[in-house]
Amino acid sequence: MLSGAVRSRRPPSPPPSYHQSVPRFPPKEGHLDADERRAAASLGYGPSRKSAHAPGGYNLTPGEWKLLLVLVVIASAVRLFRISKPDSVVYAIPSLLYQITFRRADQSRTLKIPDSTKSILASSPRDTSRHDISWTFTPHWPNCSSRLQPSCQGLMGTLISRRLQSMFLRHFKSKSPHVAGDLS
Amino acid sequence: MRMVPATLGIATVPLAYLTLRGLDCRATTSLLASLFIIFENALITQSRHILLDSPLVFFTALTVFLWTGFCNEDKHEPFSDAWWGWLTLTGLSLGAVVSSKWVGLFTIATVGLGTIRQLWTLLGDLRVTPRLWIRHFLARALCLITVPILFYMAMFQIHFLILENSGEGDGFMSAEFQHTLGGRGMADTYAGAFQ
Repeated sequence: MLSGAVRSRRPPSPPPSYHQSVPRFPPKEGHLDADERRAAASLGYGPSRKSAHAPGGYNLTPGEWKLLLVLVVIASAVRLFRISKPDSVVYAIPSLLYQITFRRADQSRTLKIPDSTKSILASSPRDTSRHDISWTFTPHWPNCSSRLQPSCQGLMGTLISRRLQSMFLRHFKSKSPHVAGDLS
Repeated sequence: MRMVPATLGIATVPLAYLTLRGLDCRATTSLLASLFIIFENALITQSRHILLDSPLVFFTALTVFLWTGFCNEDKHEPFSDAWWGWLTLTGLSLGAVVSSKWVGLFTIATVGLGTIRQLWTLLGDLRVTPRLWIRHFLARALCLITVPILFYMAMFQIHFLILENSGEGDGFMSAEFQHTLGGRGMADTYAGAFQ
């Protein structure tokens, strides 16, 4: 029978010679082991920090200076792109003008809607099976003059108009044998 | 003219990187923050127009950067040359912020709160003698209050030296001030004798 207080103790660390000469997972630079972390925490430092604060001054590696230079170059490209034309943008999506024409022998209907795709689908004739359908998509940047429109159109606008075209194709192709689309 | 706000917008990016590095963030974290700032739509738009917001954002970023450097140096070695340098530059930058726009007063308030916290911590530090604490207080008062005020007034002095003639904005100024401008088109009026 045990008498007195019994305390569980952490077993002593093995002697240094116990460890392999080459550790299986070599510690990373600046890595703190459990004892070092506990010592740092007792001094009020943050986790994984050997000191309470960053050292004075800035110690950037040459690689970081190069990275900073690359960042400045990218920032310059973004900020200075067509700087003389502030309405032009680098990567904005221009609005699209849709013009869809439904033709029949007895009627012809043209929808010109610059708003949303849903509104076009909602306002198309109910029965389009006997219609000839054609449409035009025009990527349009509202603040650009007509002369500058082609240069204002971004890559995203072109990609989106192609995607919309394929969507309209899928939507109408099953209903009408005469479907034609045009991307301008 | 558009180059000035654009250049300031570009310069904000490395400042953000260096500020985060000064706050002991990893390089990848700082890089991510810089990329966010590069491609932030509102900041891009701001940098493309001739507005006062771009200088405001730049000088705010500069103030935070310099203040971070000062805080690091303060914990490292107070009253060194580098410590005085960071502190004085912070004061100059604060003056530039408030000279850009009065919204910059919020930046002064932010730095002021940080200063109060630093002084409070020093007050509770038994290793800091009262004499040393007063030195800390006076140094901060000199660099973070007097220097920005002098900078702000110097900006006005430069304005008065350059813009000495009458112009379209005269209407915003008082009659007394308009009388000091050259080429004024304002007729003299009699001062009221019974007011």
